[in-house]
Amino acid sequence: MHKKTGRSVVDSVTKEDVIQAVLIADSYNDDLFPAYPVPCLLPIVNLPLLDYTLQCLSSAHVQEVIIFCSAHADSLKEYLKGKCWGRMSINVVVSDGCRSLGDAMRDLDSKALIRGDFILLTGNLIGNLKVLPALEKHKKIQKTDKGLAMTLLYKECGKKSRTEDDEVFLAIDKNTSQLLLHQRCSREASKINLPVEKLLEHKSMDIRCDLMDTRVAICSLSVPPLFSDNFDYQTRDDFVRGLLMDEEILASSVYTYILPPTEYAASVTSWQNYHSISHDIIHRWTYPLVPDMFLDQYYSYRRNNIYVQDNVTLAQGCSLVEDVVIGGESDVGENTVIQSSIIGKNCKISEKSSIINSHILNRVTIEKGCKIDYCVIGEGCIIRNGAQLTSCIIGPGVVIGRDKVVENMRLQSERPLGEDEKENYGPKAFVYQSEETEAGSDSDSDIYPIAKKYYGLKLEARADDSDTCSESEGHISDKESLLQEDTNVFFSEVVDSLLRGYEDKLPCDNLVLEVNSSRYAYNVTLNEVNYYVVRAILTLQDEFKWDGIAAKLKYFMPLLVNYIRNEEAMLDSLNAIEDVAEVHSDFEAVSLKLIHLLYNKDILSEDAILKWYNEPRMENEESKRLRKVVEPFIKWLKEADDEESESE
Amino acid sequence: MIENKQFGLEEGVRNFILDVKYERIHNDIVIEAVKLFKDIIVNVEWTTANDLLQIIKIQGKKIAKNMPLNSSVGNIVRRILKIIREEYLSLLKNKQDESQEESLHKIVTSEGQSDDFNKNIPQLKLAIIDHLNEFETELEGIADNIAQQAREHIHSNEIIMTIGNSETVEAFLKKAAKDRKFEVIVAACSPSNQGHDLALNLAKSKIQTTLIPDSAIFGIMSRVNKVIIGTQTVMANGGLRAVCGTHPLALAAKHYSVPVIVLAPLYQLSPQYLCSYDQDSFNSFISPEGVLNYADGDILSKVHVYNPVFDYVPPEFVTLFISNTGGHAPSYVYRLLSELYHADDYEL
Repeated sequence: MHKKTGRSVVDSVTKEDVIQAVLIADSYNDDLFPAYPVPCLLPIVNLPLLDYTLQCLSSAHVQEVIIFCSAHADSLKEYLKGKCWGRMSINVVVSDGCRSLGDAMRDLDSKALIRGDFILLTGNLIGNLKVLPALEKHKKIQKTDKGLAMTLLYKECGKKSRTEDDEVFLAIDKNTSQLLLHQRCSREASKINLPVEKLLEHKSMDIRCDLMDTRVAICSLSVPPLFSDNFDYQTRDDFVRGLLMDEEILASSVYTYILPPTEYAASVTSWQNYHSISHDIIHRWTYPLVPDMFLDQYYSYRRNNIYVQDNVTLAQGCSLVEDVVIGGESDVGENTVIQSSIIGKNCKISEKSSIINSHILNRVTIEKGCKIDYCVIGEGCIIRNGAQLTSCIIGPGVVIGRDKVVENMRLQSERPLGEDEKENYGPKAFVYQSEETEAGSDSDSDIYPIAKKYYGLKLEARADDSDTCSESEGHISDKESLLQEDTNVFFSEVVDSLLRGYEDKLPCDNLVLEVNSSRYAYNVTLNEVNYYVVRAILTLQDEFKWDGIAAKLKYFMPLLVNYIRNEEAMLDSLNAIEDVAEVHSDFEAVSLKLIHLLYNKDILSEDAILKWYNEPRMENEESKRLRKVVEPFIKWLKEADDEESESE
Repeated sequence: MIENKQFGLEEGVRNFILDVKYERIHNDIVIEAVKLFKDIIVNVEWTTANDLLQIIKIQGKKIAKNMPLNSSVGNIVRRILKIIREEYLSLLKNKQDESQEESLHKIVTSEGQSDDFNKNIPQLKLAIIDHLNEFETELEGIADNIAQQAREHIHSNEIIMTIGNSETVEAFLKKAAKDRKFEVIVAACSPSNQGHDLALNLAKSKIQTTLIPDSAIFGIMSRVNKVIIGTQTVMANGGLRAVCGTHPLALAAKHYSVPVIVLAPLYQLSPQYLCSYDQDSFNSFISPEGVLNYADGDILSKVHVYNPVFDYVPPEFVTLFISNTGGHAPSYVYRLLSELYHADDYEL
């Protein structure tokens, strides 16, 4: 009955005035597994993430929330049933097929639930931000820039150590706050790449890396159709990148809004920032979303940021050092030390344990003398006597055996399907297999994300690139790496075609065609083509016996004849030989024979060889060594030359 | 049907708590609270005064527990309970007057009998609502009532010091400025710097105003004639829970023997005592922003930053309370308490 009245009130207000928020409840990855089955209901400081998000929206005067979910819809609905959020109405939209944010937006577009500008966010938002000023600014910009699609919200966080995923470089127009560049940084690419046109178009811009992505955005009505038109947009980053690249074609732009210092917002996306955000909550940056301010959560707040709920038993000699939250009905045993940790409700922690930097969810039993550092322990786990856990994420219901030492693991209580894993860690503890790792375990590129997940809560101290390498060095190496990006792909394609051609004995004319098409695809210069073709031929099978190379050369001779036509090309191929010799020491021995052969076949001219010999590109050990090896040949060349001139 | 109404009641109380917590109520919280309870009395079904007392107590307790630091709503609940008791007793007395003659025995025993509040009196609801309406009007006029007394306390060419931004103080000073000339010194009250707003408003109404940083309070105190401040709560012992920075101000005033006048509407009078000097259960800590900036980055994970909202000021630093009913000494607060609230309601 009450709901109806709420709806009618909404209807009586003009529909445009209703502030809508679209909340994506799925994370579409398993970064936050396996500690809690439903990612957005994962407790942070003893309350589900979604609670914080909805409280934040409710206090920001949002009137209608559309919760978008694919998996776990039932548990979400169950959770929302008993709650009321003041004057905010909540609709749950279930869409089974969604695999990404892009899918969700396309679905939203087809369902036509959006009536105006809306707030796009995830169910993992923690913050006390006021959305209205951002929305007003969005509308104001809309008047001057009709193409405004999205305003991204950022929070200044200064120089803060954080995970690579959270590192973001932005270029923002200083006057209009239009976003010009959005680049997530990783360890490999430490430089940003800003097109010259942007520099010319905009008078002044800020390049910032002190901003934290809140993962909240104000979207115009045009955003869902844009997702529909560009079906390759999967994430919000894709969307932003797409808009920035094809600004003219799509006629859409992205702006930024930096939260005033009094407002806080952050989204949980990984265990590392889960840990740092819970630290911020305990330190009350999120006020009034702090443990003791929530409805029906009665915490007493003590010195050193210690929050204790009712009916907690603290035995003699136990010490709560600092930044500790303990949920109701929990027991802490004698001489136990707890520091920077969160203990859920109904937990039993026995004597002489130490819990540091950890998150213990509800109903966990920790027996005597355990050591727990940087861990997340799921509901209902039992940790037996003397176990030591470091950097572990442990799913619900896991039992860790006596005196086990576990490090850098993700554990779950159920045996993974089709695997006969031994119970290494306890009666109910199995290594968690991420779906992603199973799917892509054979390709090399996937090794990195798997490894990353074992970081757990701890934020690895990041080597400060700018300090370790001198500026000029960094600059050069970076230039090369940028250049090489395309040529590397080109090289690998050439190797592929040659290998296939060699094995299937295809005619060399076809190979020439293939190499040429790759060349145009990657916009590679002729010099580089020559260089890489020779290099590819030489390194084709990583064997450097003379017989193998001779056979290969014989086969590829037409190819070489086709490419190596002038002196410059000859120099390129000699450089290629030099570079291969530098990497593979076996090759050095055969290089004399090789050059001789190429000379005999008229691929290399005498002038080119002498020029290469006399003017080395770099003065280093390798080049000297190689020149020593080929010295007899050069001598012979010169002598032959002299003889010729004499005979004349 | 009753269930639905009950649900509406729960919902109303919940919304009220949320509104207060997230600072969505812009006009007076106490007036909103009275309106809420009037709604409850009208809409929820009850037959005897005892039922009603129970309902109000339960809801009041819920509100008070959810905002332990905002005592004024709790005080309003206590006032309402007292009003219900009073109305019941007076109606009961009338009824008895009509039905029976007064006898000495009855007069002596009537006190004991009436305590169960179980008689069904049909007119009770109407009487309570009438009384609550009166109470509401009283609350609405409270700032005016206090301001009326300004002429008695502020004299010509005095220098007044205040801190923070209290609406009551603002109205008080403006009223006095209508026919007196005096000077006001406002301490900024960092990190919230509410003093800036007050100084601006006073200057707009042509009062000579000086804004000083908190650090200058002691230096300037020697020239000040009077300190006039507002407060959040008056504790049962006459101490104050007032905006952070008030304690040093009061200490400085004591040192220079400057009188400290506290403007406190009666609903700020709480039957609570200070239970701990450790401030934890007494104070409210807000976001550290302002003391330290979030943009300072990594250093934040290495330090504890506290940003308390309140100070406790012991009663011996207060010279006089000015409430809507007149001036009272701190030692008289206990008497006011027993007048305003029924002893059973001290603990909600």
